[in-house]
Amino acid sequence: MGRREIRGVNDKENSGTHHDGDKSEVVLTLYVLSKTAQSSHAVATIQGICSNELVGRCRLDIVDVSENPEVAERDAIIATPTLIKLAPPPLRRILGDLSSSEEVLVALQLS
Amino acid sequence: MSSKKTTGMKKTIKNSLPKEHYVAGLYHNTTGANPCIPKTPSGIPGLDEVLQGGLAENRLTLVSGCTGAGKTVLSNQFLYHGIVEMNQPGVFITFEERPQDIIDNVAGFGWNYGQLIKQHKLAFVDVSDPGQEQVELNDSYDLSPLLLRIHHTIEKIGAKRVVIDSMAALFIQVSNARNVRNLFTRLCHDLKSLGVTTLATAERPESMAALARNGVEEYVADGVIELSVTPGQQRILRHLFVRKMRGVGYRSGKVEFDIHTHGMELYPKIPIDRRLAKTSLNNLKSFGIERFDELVGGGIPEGHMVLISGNTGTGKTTFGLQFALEGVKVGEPVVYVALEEPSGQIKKTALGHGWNFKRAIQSGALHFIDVPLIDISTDQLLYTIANSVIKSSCKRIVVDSISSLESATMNGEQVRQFLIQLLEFCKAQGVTCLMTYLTSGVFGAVRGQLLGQMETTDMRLSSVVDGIILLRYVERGQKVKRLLNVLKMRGRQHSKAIYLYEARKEGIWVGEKYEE
Repeated sequence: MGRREIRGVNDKENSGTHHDGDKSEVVLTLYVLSKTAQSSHAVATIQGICSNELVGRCRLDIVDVSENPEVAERDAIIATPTLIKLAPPPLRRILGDLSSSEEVLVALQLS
Repeated sequence: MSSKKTTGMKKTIKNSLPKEHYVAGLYHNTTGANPCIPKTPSGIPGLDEVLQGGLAENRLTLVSGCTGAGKTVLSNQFLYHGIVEMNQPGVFITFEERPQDIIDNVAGFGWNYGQLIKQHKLAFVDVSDPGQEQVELNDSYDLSPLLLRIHHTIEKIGAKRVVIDSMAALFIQVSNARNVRNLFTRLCHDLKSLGVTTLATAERPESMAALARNGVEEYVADGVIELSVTPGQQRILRHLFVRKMRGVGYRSGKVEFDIHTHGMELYPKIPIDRRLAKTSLNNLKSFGIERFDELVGGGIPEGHMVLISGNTGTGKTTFGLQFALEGVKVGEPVVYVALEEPSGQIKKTALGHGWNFKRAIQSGALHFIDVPLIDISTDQLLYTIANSVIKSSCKRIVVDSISSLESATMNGEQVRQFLIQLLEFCKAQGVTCLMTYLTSGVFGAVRGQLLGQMETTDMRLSSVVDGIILLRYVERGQKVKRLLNVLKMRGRQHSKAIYLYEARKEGIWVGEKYEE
């Protein structure tokens, strides 16, 4: 189920200032529920965006909520899939089945 | 002052009932209980009596009411009581307020949530709006993570109690109502399977349309408790009623409650079982007033309620004080309900007569109940009296006066109901009650018509009470004379004649038969 890396990415106070030097870097966390088709689609879509539209400037973490309920609690996740854009600010949550990369790109409001 | 026997009795009662909650022992209706559904004490004084034992264990009960009705107080008290008194860890799932705000708010009741969290006895699932930018691309999302979080938190601290406050706020965060409804249904099943007892709050808007929106909660819940607020003359009047409670018994009807500095307290009407009455007509409660006791046939029979009615200054309170004094003297604890004037003033009056109640009060032989007369609640008053009576194994009650209760509640019917309940309570408990009643009967009866000014109110109350003593002024030969008559005294051969009396410094003095 793709890359999974749990760090303190959602240290929300720091996320804004952390990447001040590199304004173009996009930091994303995708929260999914393992073993659901919806989640697989979401992972594929976001990974696709990172290796195409945002190639070279995207950092993506994927959290499997069912294995990490504590992280879901800390990050106030109520639904899956949820994509959180930590940088560039402002912080933004995107809910829904993330199957269309066009829709996701629009929702990210990167340009 | 009280005999050894009395002290012993007091101890038994104290040990068998939870502190501050003596009336609980009066509720004897667990016979209709469903053995398949055990109950757990709610922690709210009075509520368990209404629910006949407590909340249904491992089930979800909805607490519904408008803003400010007390839903959050009730839920927090349930949670706090469970953790502190019953060692049942609790989880608070908050959809509205931030956990820190809740922690700060309940500190006002003396509930230290911060400490309980440190001890892993309390945990929050924070579903309050994070206040971040959010986009919903479509409806295809799953609220399972929320269930996972709740599940995880409950298991982590081994919770037995859960509060959900309040589900409807999720509609602000998530626009898909169907998803939210499904979530609630799943959550209910989840909580049941986890073996926790849950209270969920629900805002009760006045409009029916809004009601339908959140209606799902009511169908899924096993029980619904409704809270209401109505403005009174000087304060808010609060009521609770149980709308449904699947498979278990409860008492129907509105119950008054109040929110104090230590939390919520209910004042359920006291159920009376007349079979409990163990009174004897020959067990007489005397006043310790020479000649007067003979007039009433030796004293008031045990468990009877007697009204002493007269105009201002006729010495009603003096009769009351002497009845109390005699009770203390013979080892029968007394509860004195001070409605007309504060107990401090009554004690001063007593001192003026040379009666010092200090020792009696210290030993528990005499207990004063001070009742502020603004927006008085008769249910609350009855509950307070009943608690004091049982706590002190009291044998005599003095209510001074019923008329001030009537003018304070502005409702004669309410007072009549109060009297009936008090009467039934006294009979069941074998407690004798003397009540003073101020009549506005005017100064100076016409010749031969001592009873001429009897008020209709007197008459209305007279069917309720067991005895009536009339105190009257008459103006005769340039003098105001005081006359008394025992109009009625059930179960006793009492004097029918009219007697002269005086309220002297040393107490009531009864003189000759008065004849014109």
